[in-house]
Amino acid sequence: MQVEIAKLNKRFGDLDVLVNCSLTVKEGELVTLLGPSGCGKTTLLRCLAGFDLPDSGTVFVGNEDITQAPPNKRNVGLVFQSYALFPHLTVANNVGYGLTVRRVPREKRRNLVDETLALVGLQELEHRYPAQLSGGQQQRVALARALILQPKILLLDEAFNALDAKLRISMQIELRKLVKKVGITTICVTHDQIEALTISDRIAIMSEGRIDQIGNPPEIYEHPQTEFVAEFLGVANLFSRKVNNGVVQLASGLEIPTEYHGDVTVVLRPEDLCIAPEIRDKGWTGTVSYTRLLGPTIELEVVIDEQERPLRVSVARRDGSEISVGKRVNISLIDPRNTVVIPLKAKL
Amino acid sequence: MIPEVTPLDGLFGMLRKIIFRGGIWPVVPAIIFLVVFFAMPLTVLFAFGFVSIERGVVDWGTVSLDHMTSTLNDSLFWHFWWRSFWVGTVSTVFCLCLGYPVAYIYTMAGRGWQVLILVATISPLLTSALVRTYAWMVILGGRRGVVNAILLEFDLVSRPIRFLYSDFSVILGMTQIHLPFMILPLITVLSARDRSLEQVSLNLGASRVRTFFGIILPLSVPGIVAGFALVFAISYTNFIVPQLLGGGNYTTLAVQVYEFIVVILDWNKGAVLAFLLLTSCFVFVLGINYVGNWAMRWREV
Repeated sequence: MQVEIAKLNKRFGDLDVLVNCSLTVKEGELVTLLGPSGCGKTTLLRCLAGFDLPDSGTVFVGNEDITQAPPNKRNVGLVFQSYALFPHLTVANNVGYGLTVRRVPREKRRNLVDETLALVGLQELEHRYPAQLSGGQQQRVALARALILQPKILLLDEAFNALDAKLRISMQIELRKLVKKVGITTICVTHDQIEALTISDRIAIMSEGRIDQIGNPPEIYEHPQTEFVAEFLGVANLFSRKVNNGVVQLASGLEIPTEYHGDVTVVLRPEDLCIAPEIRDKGWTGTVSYTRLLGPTIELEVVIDEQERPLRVSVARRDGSEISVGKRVNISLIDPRNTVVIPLKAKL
Repeated sequence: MIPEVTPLDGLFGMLRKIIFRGGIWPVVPAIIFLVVFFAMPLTVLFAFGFVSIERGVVDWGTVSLDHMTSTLNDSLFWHFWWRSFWVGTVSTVFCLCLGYPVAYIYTMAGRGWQVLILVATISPLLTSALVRTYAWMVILGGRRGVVNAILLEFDLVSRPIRFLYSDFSVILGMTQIHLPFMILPLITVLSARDRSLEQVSLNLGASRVRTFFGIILPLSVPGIVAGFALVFAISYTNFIVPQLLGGGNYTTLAVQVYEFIVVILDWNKGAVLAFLLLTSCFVFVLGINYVGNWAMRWREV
């Protein structure tokens, strides 16, 4: 069902945790709230689940206003970071808990539990206790427990944190497939940009209680609207410059046309830069201070003469073989049209 | 989670690990203290039940089970045992019923209230149980007792009610005096519980009441078992409260031990009764633990 969050505000004491948060999630869409810890994303999720009540604003699920509804009257699925499986109940009883509470007859309950366990691939484990399961299995039980009630929406709170790196990626892909198969509207909370890029239809980036930008992953990565978004999702080299006659001068011979006026910030992704081992008069000159092999690419840090912040550049592994720490290099833009220019007023 | 000592090591392997890994040395002073001041006197006391003592002189040559068999065949002994047992059980159940809400409220209260509850729970322990028992005598006593005086003053009763020297006064006194020993383990277990389980339960549509009985209560069984075993053990063996609040004709097994050893000076009989009281107490505590482990079988992983 469609979720419509409108102008949500929440204060804890002197702290504004949520400031005018508005977000519409379409039916069947998977939206991730991404942001650093303390940005309010978990509070927003708790407002959806009913554990916190907003000071003002409304939350609609479908046509129903659930802003003030108690948590047990919402039918909103929830998967916690810790999974919060009931340790004294078997897998089957954990999954069937919501049905038992609703007094669903035993026979029907059994069938639904079997069906849901099959959906997450855990049929054989129904008699185990949570402590006898691996992290991935526990997560699936938590997911099954939420999905069995056919909730209107599904909420995931840092649901992949407890898994090790490799399993995390595969569970993320699996989750996305499952959620799409079920067709449920899903809102995830995470501080992990890879997770957000992996699972989301759209990402909402939050900082200091505000939603900075909402868009699909390529949109957010390629067209960040604030410095914060540019730096939080992916790596960004930022340049504060003044616009002169419709162009921004980055370095000698590197000029970018723009429609903005006054102070702007130019965002250059590491892969937008190219590196050459010989000194040229166009672009930056600097010394390689750090290299890091990331598999298919090498990430470099180059300390530029006459500039405080080092540039971060990424090159394909095969092209970077002659570059090592201490080497003098030239850096320039691959294509000036790819750069993003953020006008200063966007600095919130 | 992984046991350090596997069953394959056996008792000998376990002992060797304890001794040679140095784990045992820090507890040596405590062990020596317990052996000298606890285990040895108890052994001597128990031994008194199997020998005859003439004018304070122990005749070690006459080891027999006579005292034991005569006691076990005495119907009066079983009568007193039964009273010890049911009075202990009832007051322990009352402690649980009264203590659980206090411990639960403690975990839901703000910091200030928590301190207040903790102080109210622990401060009675700073006064002697004897003093508190006498206080109950003042409260419950005859015509001049606080309760009866009030009832008479307002003409609610025509004659003073006989609170004192009854099962009622003994159970009331025991429950009040032993309540902290129930509340403290419950607070420990309930404070450490994972609150996200309650949130999930609500999220899955359960009411708060349902969440309490379905999630919070079963997961607090360790605290219930600890408190129940502790309070039962001290209620079952308490002799001050039954003696003072039960009056001269009210006798339990523990009171009998006191009477035989201190008043009648029949150490044989006293030793046998003490032996039976302590071993049966031990068996009951083991039983409570067994039931507790059964209720927590989900932990055995």
